[in-house]
Amino acid sequence: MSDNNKAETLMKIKDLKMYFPITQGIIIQKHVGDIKAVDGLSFDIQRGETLGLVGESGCGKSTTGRAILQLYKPTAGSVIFEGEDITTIRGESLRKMRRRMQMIFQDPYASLNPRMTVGNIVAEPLEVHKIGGNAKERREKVKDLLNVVGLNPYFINRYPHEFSGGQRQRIGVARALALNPDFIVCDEPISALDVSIQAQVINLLEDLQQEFGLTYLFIAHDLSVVRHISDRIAVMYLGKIVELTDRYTLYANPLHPYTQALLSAVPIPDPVADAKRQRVILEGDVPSPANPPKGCNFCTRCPKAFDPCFETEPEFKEHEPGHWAACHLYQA
Amino acid sequence: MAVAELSQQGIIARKPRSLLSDSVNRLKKNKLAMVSMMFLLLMVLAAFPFASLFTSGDFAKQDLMANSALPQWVESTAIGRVVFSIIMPNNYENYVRYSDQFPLGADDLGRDLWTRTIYGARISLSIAVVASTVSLIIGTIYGLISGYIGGTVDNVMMRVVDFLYGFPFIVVVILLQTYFKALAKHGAEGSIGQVMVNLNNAMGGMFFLFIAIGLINWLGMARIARGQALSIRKKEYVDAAKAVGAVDTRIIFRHILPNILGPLIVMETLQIPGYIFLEAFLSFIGLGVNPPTPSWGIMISEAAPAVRSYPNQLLPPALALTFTTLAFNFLGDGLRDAFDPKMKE
Amino acid sequence: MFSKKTLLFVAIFAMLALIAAQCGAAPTPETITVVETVIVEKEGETVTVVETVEVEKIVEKEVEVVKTVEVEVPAAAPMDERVTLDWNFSTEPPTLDPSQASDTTSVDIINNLFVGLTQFDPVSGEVIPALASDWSVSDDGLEWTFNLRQDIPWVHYDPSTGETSQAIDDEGNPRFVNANDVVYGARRTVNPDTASDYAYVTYIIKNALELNTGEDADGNPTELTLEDLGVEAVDDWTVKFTLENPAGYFPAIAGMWVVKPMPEWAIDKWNVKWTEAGLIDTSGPYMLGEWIHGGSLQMLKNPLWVNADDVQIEVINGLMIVEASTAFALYENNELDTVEVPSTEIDRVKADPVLSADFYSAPDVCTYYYGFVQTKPPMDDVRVRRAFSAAIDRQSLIDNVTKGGQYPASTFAPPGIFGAPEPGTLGQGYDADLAKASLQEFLDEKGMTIDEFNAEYGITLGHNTSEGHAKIAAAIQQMWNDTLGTDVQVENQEWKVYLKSINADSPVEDTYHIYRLGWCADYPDENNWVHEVFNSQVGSNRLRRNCADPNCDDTTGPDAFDDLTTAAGQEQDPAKRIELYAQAEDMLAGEMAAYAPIYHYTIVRVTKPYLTRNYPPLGGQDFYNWKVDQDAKKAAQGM
Repeated sequence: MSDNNKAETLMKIKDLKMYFPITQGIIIQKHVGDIKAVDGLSFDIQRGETLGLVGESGCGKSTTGRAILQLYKPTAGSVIFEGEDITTIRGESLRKMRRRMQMIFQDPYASLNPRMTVGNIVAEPLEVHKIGGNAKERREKVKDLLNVVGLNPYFINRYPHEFSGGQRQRIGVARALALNPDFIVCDEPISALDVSIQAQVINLLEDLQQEFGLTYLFIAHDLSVVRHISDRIAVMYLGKIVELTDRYTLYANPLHPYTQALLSAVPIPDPVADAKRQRVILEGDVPSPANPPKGCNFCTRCPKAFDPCFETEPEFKEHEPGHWAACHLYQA
Repeated sequence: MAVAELSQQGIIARKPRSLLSDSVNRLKKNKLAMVSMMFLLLMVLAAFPFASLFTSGDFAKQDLMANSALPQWVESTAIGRVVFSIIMPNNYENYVRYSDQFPLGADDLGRDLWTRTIYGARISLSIAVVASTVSLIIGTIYGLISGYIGGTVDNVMMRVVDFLYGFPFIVVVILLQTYFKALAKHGAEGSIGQVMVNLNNAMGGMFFLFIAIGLINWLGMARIARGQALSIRKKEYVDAAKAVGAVDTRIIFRHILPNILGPLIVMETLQIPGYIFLEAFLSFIGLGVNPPTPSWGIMISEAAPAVRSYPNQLLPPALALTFTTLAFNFLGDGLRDAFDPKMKE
Repeated sequence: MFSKKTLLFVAIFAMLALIAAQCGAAPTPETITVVETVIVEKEGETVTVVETVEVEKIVEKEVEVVKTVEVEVPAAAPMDERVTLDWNFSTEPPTLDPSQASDTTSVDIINNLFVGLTQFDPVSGEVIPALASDWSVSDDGLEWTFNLRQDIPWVHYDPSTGETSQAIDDEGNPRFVNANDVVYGARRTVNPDTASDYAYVTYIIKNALELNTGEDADGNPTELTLEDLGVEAVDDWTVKFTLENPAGYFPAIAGMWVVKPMPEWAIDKWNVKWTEAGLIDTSGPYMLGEWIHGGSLQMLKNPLWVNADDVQIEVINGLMIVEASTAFALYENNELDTVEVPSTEIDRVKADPVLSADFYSAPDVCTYYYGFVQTKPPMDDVRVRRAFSAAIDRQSLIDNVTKGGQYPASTFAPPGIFGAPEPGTLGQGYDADLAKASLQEFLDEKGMTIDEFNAEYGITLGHNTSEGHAKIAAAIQQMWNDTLGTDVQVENQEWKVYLKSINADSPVEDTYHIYRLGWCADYPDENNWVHEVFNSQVGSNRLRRNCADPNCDDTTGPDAFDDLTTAAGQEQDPAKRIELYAQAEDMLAGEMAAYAPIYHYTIVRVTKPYLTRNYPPLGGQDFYNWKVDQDAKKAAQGM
């Protein structure tokens, strides 16, 4: 983290939108609306940093990650990776680009093909891109990768179901590392794991970041984990980023009422202080992303909402250097 | 790291087990399925490579003088007399004749029932293999494409299946059979139709039967394959493969196909008795194989009219049909239990 | 197989239950309205004084009122108490239209629904009076005059109400079968628009051939009209036929279904539907009751029939079970009163003490044969045909397959037919050596092996769907294989479809090389056999002899055989006729090997002891002469 000042931008996301169409009809399908899973995101990711992305379930975090990696074709907006807009490229060049960006998935049980051996799973990226030499050399490379993620290379011929959750997630990490990527989307990589295993995986990810100079987009719903691993944190609500800043500022001085509510729900390891704390309890449910409210997305549940909130959408603005928020409270 | 190492010690001594080997192990423990498999294996050996070894070898040979003869051992052994007094009408000894040429007796044209039953297995087993393979291949490919591509393509492809499903199944098979037989008369020399007809005649009428049954039965398989493909393509390991840059064909054949094939094969095995019965039914109503090629369906249809005088003629094909379809059913059940992950201990 | 049978049983039970239910609902006692039997003579006719008075009276009556009188018809008992015959027609009758019928099932029904000029004596087979009370022939043998009975009514039965009534003409008078009905029937059959398959039996009548084919002797369109047909109503009760040639057997033809009197008014009104139950008008001892197509056909005793008192069986429940074995099972279960014995059951029937007492076997005037389609190679070569005919071991087939004591045939007409040769003396019988040599000669000439022969021609044998025919075909297929080494495909089709595909006008690709058919006598003369069946200019020519093209759209004219049978038909000297027919028979089956005669039928039936029946050799089943001991039948059925 010593080189943070250089702050070279690795990835620039501009007004990214990901809508899923809602259709009706059995044979002729009529387009009747959209689920606005991601509705206009703009942020930068610096080389070598870990950007945390937090929010409730269903707010569009995972969709954002997949849209950035072009696993979903974004509806609008651009993802500029080292100066090139990867939303416009297709086919072979996109496939080549994928070598630079990888993903670690949430569910280590679903993300490994049960019919393939560990060796084949980890070697697949090499095979797909025809790198890593011949079969034997690839095998050596796979063994190295298993070593790197802390698995015994002896297991190269075993099948995923023979491993525990933590071990499987290590396999997933090894697969992501196989192509020497610059950027990895970690999609809630530890939320499906036992608490005792979570720390191991987090530490592994941190070690790897140092070793290979990786950039992470770390998606999570658990603020304490994000606080531990992230350099900067973006808070999402209903398809939009409501606040983005470095981790210290976010915890010390949250601007957006939603961020404040989230932080107030994080337990602190001091029962006395915890009991004294003022909790912000949010009323109601998250509105449907198919039919978001007018004005500010959060206005239906915001304890501090006032007239403009129901009228106009707040602008996502830099209120302090490096501290962005979208809230009418601070617009003036 | 230390914790990870420790947890690995437990499995380090074991050999790697794929899901397939797990399933095979489970299957081996299912006695009924294993007995069925042995039975079918014996049947295949008996019907194909060794049929001529322990039968007379000529299923069409008639000895008209010995028509409807009972085997000699019925008359000469006590057990034969006891068994046949149960099977046969009361006064059967007054009108039957005996012959020592036939281990199970002869049909009403003096043909060896034993030989015909064994050779008849060729039809039933071939139907089992060919019809199910045809339907599996067509159905799986169709369903995979439909389910993987999804969207409008899926919609159109599945409506086509629905449309075809709307036809009464038996009627379609009968129409196809009739059409194929009509081809035999109209096909110009050297045309595809004529070639097919010649092939069909060379196979004793089996070829068109295969096509008719296979062409119809892929529909169900396509639906299942499509449903499976739909659920598998949403799995994260498919996303992972896309993320590493794998192309569609690789995803279909390396990731989706291996994961749906198990259930499909199980389904197909469970359908085999249906195919065997269908062949028997079609042969029974005269749309199956050409006489004198024996099939169990034809043998049953030939023996049925004589059932009041010679019920013994019905038994060999009927029992063979029963045991074979039962065996396929048991095997299919066993396969399903073995391949269904939910049954995993 | 079990489910099929079970289904059939269920269907039959359901059907019987349905009939029973509907019968139970029928109103009893019935009163039936009939118009008083009055006869109005035409003006200007010479009548005796006594009769004149009567006529005046009648005219008087007519002027005042067209009088209808309520006639008490003997009340019909509830259906389940009536004397009932349970019969199996074996198939849906293709038609009940006398002009159209060509098969035994249809004819069995038609003969009981419609009266004919003459009929066959059920015992002797001689021609005896029916509608015609007597007849005479002119000295030149060409003009036949029939005097009709005047008391046979046309009746109408309505199955929905169970009501019987006499048909009434436009003036309100009751209809009796008269000479005009006979003339109408004959003209209708000859009319090419009727498309009667059996019209050729009328060709003996003057101008019938020309009218029916629409061409005169030179092949020009005919200028004749139906009025020129050699049949006329001298008066209402006298019909005169004029023939082309003298024919002593003509009284037999005059009784055949194609020249039965037909109800012109009903046919005009209902067109093709006129034979449906509830629409049809009939004149015979039975009326058409309920007809469930493909399932059952019921016939009821006609209460207005002249000899109604002599008709003992009141209801005939006819089923349409194709499988002889199924019908036999119903017989054993007392659900049918008389059935044919399937060959598979004959051994057991003969050995069974009860069934053997019911068993009856006698020669029948029918012949089973395989025809060779002579425009379809290799059947265009006489050596191939001879090989296939001679390779059939008829005696072995009879002893081991059909088992009914049939007679091996080497010619067509069976014994008992005038002019039929002694079986086995002429034509072509079983001769394995000849068969082999004959085919070998053909193969040598073509330079073929037998395998090449099989591959080249793909010979097919067709039969209509039936377990009996299938068995015979399988046995003969193997005989050919054993003797000749041929590989013949056997195929079958449902009867109506089958008839179409073997017809001379079906495309040659659609037809089989070899087809199965049987032929039963319509009247006991050779003319009905070799001439009407096989003469290429007269019959349906399914053998496709003398065809100008494979589809047989045109014939090249008569050959020596055709000339022979035509000459024999015109010959007056019986001894010469027999000689000519013998030559024709020998030529067709032997020299030309145009078809393979296989066997002459026998009647092989079992009949319940409570049914007294006869086995008429000609003219179909005469149910009106049969008797059922209803009490004994109920006892046997355990009711």
